[in-house]
This record gives sequence, structure tokens and C-alpha cells, in this order.
Amino acid sequence: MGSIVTVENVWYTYPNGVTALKNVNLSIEEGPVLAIIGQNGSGKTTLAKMLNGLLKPTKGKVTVAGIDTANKKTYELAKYVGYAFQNPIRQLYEDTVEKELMAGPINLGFDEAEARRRAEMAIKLFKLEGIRTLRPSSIPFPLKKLVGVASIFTMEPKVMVLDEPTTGQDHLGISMIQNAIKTIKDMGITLVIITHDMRFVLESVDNVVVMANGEIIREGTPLEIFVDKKTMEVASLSPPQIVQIGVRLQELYPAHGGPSRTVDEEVITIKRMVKKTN
Amino acid sequence: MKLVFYIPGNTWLHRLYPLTKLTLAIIIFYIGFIFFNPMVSYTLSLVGLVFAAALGRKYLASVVNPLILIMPAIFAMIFFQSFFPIVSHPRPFHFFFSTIYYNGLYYGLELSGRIILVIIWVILLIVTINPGDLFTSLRKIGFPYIFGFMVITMLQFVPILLMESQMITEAQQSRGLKLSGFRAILPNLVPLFVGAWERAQVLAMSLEVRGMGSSGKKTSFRKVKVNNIDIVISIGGVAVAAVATYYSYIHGFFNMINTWTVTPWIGGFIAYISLIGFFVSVVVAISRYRA
Amino acid sequence: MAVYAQKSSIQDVAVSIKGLSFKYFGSDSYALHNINMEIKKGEFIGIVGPAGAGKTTLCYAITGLIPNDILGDFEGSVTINGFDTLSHPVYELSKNYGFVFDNPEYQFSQATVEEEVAVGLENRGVDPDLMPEIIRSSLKKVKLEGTEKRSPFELSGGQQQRLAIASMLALKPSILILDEPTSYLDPQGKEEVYSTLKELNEEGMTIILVDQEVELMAPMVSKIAIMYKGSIVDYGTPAQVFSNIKSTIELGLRIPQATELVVKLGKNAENGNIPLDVDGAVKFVDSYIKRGGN
Repeated sequence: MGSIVTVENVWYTYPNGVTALKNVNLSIEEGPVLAIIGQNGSGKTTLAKMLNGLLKPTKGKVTVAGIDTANKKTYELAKYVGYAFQNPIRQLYEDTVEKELMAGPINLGFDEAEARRRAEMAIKLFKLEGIRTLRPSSIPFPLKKLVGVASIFTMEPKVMVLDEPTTGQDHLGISMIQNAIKTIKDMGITLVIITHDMRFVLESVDNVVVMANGEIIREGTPLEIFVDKKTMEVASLSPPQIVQIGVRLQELYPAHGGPSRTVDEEVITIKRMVKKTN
Repeated sequence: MKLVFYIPGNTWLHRLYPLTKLTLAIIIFYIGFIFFNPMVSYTLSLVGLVFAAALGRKYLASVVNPLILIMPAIFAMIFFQSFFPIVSHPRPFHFFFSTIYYNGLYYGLELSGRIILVIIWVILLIVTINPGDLFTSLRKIGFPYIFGFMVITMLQFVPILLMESQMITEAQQSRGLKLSGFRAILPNLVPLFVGAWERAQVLAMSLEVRGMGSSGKKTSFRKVKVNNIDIVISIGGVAVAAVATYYSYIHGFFNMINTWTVTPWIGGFIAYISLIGFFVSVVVAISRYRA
Repeated sequence: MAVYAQKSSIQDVAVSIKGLSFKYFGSDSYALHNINMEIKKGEFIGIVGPAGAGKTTLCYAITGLIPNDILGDFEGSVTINGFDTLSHPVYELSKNYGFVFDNPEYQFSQATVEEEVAVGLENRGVDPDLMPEIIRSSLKKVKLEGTEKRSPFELSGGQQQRLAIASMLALKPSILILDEPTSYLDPQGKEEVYSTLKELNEEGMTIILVDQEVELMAPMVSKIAIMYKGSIVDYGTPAQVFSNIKSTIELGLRIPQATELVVKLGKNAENGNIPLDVDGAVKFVDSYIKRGGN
């Protein structure tokens, strides 16, 4: 699998003078789920908006599926890169969930039959059968977010950007999103997720890019990132509790082997340690 | 598009009592309108520009920018009006191949002058009166608390909703919507209304919890004082207005529409420069606001 | 359902809820079923549960917005600092509490931070000469000194929620109720709000906090109520409530990973002690390994 998105020497300065991106270089591999993490103001949202042309680089080049974003409008890039906004209310406007799922493909020029086929598939994959005739603005928030993601999914882009999918969610909502991510990844779409939920990153993401002050300061797998104290400090982020526990235990017991991604995995590691020391 | 709002500052104009500034502006409009004479309206406009410049660069810019947007209309007004006589005895003159009317030209110049006068002074008012102060002073003369509060809240909401609208447009473009023409409005309206509705609900509850709706006297955080200079300016202003009214009455509004003449060269020049000015100002306005 | 109450004297009680049920006007089902709960003065209570569990409805009932402003079928009684919500209007009841909503920005309407804090003072008819000092000290309490002239809409999310808290604090309530105040905040913003709440509680403020951040909440609160489909299904200390993993997982709720770890290693919540944070978990695991497991 090659690179589906390349960001080359990109700088971005907002009209008010703030430079949000400083010489950012990134190559996003097709396939693995990528998270871009960092505090508010680190530039992660600015970088995400580069991917579907909402923002164009002040300097440098962004290429998506082989296309240079510089001269393309967002709605032209929409068939390659989908973007699910943090606040689903901003994107949903149809009368029913069904119609909402069909709206994206129709905008792209597909006929109604094809749009309906895609909507049916999304309803099945994301388990939206029970709400298909409801008005999107009246469904509970976690479902709004899921419908928001699904309505980008029906556009069948190569890349989907999810902007803070877990913010404002309860734990069930987060699980729904995590399942949706597995489904989307299995369908061959590359996911780029902007988030500051570290636990979610640890559980659901393959690769991580850490941003601070407009620059990428580190790339790696979630565990690699979370045990890197210096990076965490510069980015003002804290690793999930289970990683902190694993790191401390490894300091006490060198044979521990390092932190795990889930509590259950850690339990297994600890029981193994018990056997070893006794 | 950049909207005009209050610019905080500590200039002599800021320190005047809000109602004084309002009165001053009203008197200026009054004088500008009781005389039907471009010399009066353009002079008063110039005075406004000088005030704005004296206040500072930001203030001058906030007055000049909207003027630049309006210049195409102004030039068009002067040019076209000069070809149409207004009163019973038109006074045509000839400039090359065209017939222009002194009356028309005078009329065009005066109307444009009035428009410019109003714009400059209204903007001066907006940028130097803090809405909170304005409503505090209005409350002192009997306006209800809720009225001022509603207007101030709306003032906050306008830029916010504009920004929301922008974000919604981005969200819709990300779904492949080519936002152009009438069909683009619906996808933008529904999310905007839903968002605004939720906002209003939360704000209403938050305010109620903070005591809004209770009976009992409401006090005011902002303090505004009437100083001596306010009284001086107000009385002086009214006096000037009275004198002006008297003179205007005696001299028939100083309306020189039937007597005013310049050489045909100058008259034609004014008319055609306005035509050129029209095109130039359109280009300038477009290039400024595309950026 | 865990039992909590020892009889407490009336003066001790901040909020008392008896047999509360509520159905929204036009709805088929009850949003709240027979809620019974007592919150003593100075307590810091957390309320958790999935979306739709009735947490926000409960907040509205505690504040008196239900039944005064929100229509529906109301049964039972709610008193706040002794005042019955059925017989007092919200602007009277709200003299006892401050209420912070989940969306930081939606709570503001003024051009500057100081004017925003002043809104409540103006409406309560506070002497204008006293206002600047009250505003200054409220902002200081939430560590927002210096922002007086800035627009509330330019602040960060964490700053905005602290401003919302300050604008409530200015009215000197004894109870602070917050409905998912950190939903829209980044980790730094969440930390800021939680440390503010901790300080306020240490100074005696009664705090009722609805939120999803169990890990941040657990070390600070004295009791946690779990709500599900309109009822309180558990109410006790964090240790009691979180050691009941099976039911929390069934409800789709997360508990602090530290606690989950030790419970899965077999720890019971004897005498109310169970690790709720990383330090506690590490200590426990260390001794667990040393004694060869359970």
C-alpha cells in the first residue's frame, strides 16, 4: 500500500497573521488508521482542513490520491476525501436519516438508485435501521455523530477525516464510533482522525502523529508515543491510565515487558509476572 | 465582509455622554437636510472625516472602507442625474455632443452629499458609542432594561452567526455541495437555525438562573456620567440648529438649484469624471472585497 | 441498589429529592422514575450515565427549571436549601445555586468578560459600587484575572467554562450544579475545570457534577450516582460504585482504568478502599505481585 496523502513542506498562516503550520511534512499510508493528536492550537485542525481543500497551503503542496489540492475546490475533492465535522448539526439538513445518507452521493452526481443502494449498505453496516425515518436533528447526539460519519461514508471517498468523533459523547457513543471505524477500515477507506481522547487513540488507532505549536513532533504507534515522556510533555498530553500504570510497573519489574493497550492485556501481563516471581 | 462595530478607546469623543453624541449627530443631519446645498452637505461630511482622522487610523479606516463600497452608487447618481432635469425650468448646457442640465447636476451632487454625510456620521456614532453605555443612558430616561439587553445580545450574535454560516458552508462543501445560487441556501439555513435555536435555549436558561425575569430594580455595571462639556455641546448644538433654521427659512434653504452655474466645461467635466469614477470605484471595491 | 442514607438533620441538607418522576410534555415515556436522593451541604457528588439516562432532566428538576419553565407531568418533591421547587419561581430558587451548561459558548451574550459576570449582578439589583470588586474576586477564583476586557467568545473552551462558573459565583450561591461542563473541552480545559471545582469544594461549596470523565471525577467526589433509563441504579462512594464492574459494563459505562485493573485482579471494595488512580493501582499491583496473587 502506498501513500494516499502527502503533505510537503506545508506552511499556513491565517488572515489574522497567526502561523498555524510550520514546515509540515507528512505521508499518510493507505490503509492504517491514523490519529493526529495535540492540544487546541497545535495546528491539528488546520492540517486536517488541508486534506480536503478547505484550506490551501500558504507555502508547500498537499496531494490527495495523486491530486494537488491547490487548484481544486473542496466540493471537487469531496469524492476523494470526506470530512465529518465535529459538530454534526452543521452537516445534517435532510428530513430523514435515509435522505441524509443519500445526499452525499447525489451531490457527487450519482443517480437516485445508486444513492439508495449506498444508503442501504450504510444502514446495514452502521446498524441505523431503527432510526432510518427519523429526522436527523431530533435523534440523540451519539446517533447524530454516527449519522454524520455514515453520510460521508456513502460518498465512498478514499480518505475520511473524522474531526473529534468522541467529543461530547457518552461511552456507548464512543463504542459505536469505534465499531464504525473498524467497519470503515475494512471497507478499504483510510481514516484520519483528529482527536484529543488518548484512551480512544490507544484502543482504536494504528498510527499517531503528534503536533505541537504548528509542527509535527513525533510519529509512531500509540504505545510508542505514549511512553515517550518528552513528546507527551511538549504536546501537553497525558497517556491513558493503563499506559501510565504499565510504565511504572516496568520500572519496578524490568521483566514486565512494557505497557499494554487494554486493561485485560495488562491483567494477563501481571498474572504472568506473578508466575515468574513465584 | 467586515461589519462596523464599536471600537473601544479613550478619545474626547468617547468620553462624551452617549446621548450627547446622538444629539450631536442628529443636529448635524438636521442642518445637512434643512439646506439643499451641496456645499453644506459636503462640508459637514468633511468635518466628519476630519473628526475620524483625528480619532485615529482605525476610526478613519472604519469610516472610509464602507465609503469605498458605496462610491460606485455615488458616482452613478451624479452622472445619471445630470442628464435629467428636475424642476420646471431646466437649464441645459452643452458639453461636446451631450446635453446636461445644471439642475440635474446640482440635484445629483446634493443627494450624493447627503448620503455621504449620513454614512460618515452614523459610522462615527457606531464606533464611538459603547452599546452598553448607550443603553445605560437610555434606561436613565425610561427605556426598559430588557430592550437594551436584547440589542446588545443581538450585536454579539451577528458576527457569531456569520461565522457559523461560514463553517456550515465548509461542512456542506465537504459533502460535495457546490454552493452557488439559490439551492445552496437550504442546506445552510437548517443547520444555522437548529444551532441558533439550541443557543437561544441555553442562553435563556442561563440568564434565568442569573436572575433575569425577577421583579425588582435592575442596576447597571457600566457608569456613564454627564459632564459639563456634554451640556455645553448639547446646548451649543441646539443653538446652532436654531440659527441655521432661521437662516434657512429666510434664504429658501439656500437652494441654488435654479441659479447655480459653472462653465459648461466644468459642468461636463464633473459629469463625465463621475462616469469614469464609477468604473474605477467598482474595480477598487471588487478587488478590496475579494481579498 | 446501594443504600446510602443515614438520617440527617434538615440544616445539613442541600438538596432533597423524594419520589421524583417526570414525563416531558408530549412524550410517551417517563424521563425520571421515582428518584430519591439526598445531598448534604459541602458534598461533591458525581452523576454518570449514558446519553438519555435522565441526567440533564435531573439537573433541571434540581434547579427548578422543571416544573416552572418546562412542561410535563411532575410527581414527587424537590427541595433546594429547604425551598420547594414547586412553590418558588426559578429566579428565587436560583439565589441558592449556580448552573453551568455543557456548551461553553452558548451561555454568553455580552461583549466583554466583566460585563458577562455583571449580568447576574445587574439582574439581582446589586449596588453598582460593589460590582467591580465582586467581579474581580470571582474572576480571581477561577484564575481568569486580567481577562476583564476580552470578549468571552475569544476565550478557549476551558476559559469559557471557568467564566461561566465565575458568572455564577458572583451571585454567591452555596450550591454549584454542572451538566457535562467538560464535554466540549480538550484535556487541558478539562483539567482546568476540575481543579477549579476541587478548590471550590474544599472551600465548602456543594457541587453536583454530571459528567463522563470518571477518571477525573473519581478522586474528588464523595459519592457517585449512576443513572440509567430515568432511575438511579447505584449511589455510593466511588469505590463502592466502581467495584461493581459487571453492572457498569452492562450499562455501557467506563470506570477508571486503574480501578478496572485492580478489580479484575480480584480486589474487593472492603471498607470503602479501592484504588481510583494510577498511584493507587501501582501500589496495589506491586503488593499483589509480591504476595503471589490472591
